[in-house]
Amino acid sequence: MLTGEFLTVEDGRVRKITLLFDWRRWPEVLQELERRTAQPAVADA
Amino acid sequence: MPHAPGGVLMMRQLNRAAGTPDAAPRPMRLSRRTRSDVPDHIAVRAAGGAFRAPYTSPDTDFTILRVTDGAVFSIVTVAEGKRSSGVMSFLERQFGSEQTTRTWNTVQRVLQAGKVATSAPTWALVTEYVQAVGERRFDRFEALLHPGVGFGGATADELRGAPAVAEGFRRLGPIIARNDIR
Repeated sequence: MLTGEFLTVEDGRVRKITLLFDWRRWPEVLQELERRTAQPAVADA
Repeated sequence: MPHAPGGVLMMRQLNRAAGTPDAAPRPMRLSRRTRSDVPDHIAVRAAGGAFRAPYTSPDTDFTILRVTDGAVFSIVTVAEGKRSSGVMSFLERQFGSEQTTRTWNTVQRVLQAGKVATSAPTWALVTEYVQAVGERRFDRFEALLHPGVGFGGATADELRGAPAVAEGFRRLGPIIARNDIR
């Protein structure tokens, strides 16, 4: 899902981050996140 | 661009389906000579039929200066004790309800914000920010955050503070396909 970030900068650092995306597809994103974090980590070769 | 004398410049985004100009856009100056600077015959097919600019309302409260593909420029006369809502309802009737209105002062503020956002130090910061997230270097990412940083948009609850925001991004890490600047 294509997602944008709106950043506000203050004193040379990022002060505010706002995600911009299609809310209707966010449940799918959370579902995929849950699926991936539930899988056991694969060790690097 | 100078302020319109005695009035407020409004810019209105149009529903593209509502009107199609048959004249190419051209630069427009705002001055006391504005009316003589705009073409006499810019016609669009709008909800109510053909529309020609410039157009001045019968009570002379507003003038539609120019209509382009996606924007309408108008001057509203601000008189004490009178409301300026006439132009709003007029434009809605002519071009549909899917539109938004901004004064010229607001347009200038947006443009100024854009200049600030593209200054060299900010650009360098944003570039490193994007790279840090893309490479999942969340310790570096956290160092780029203001101590009082806020994060919102993904959930109803907003995260506050650099450690909390960095942890939130760590949790999103598994579903970040890539991070680009466009």
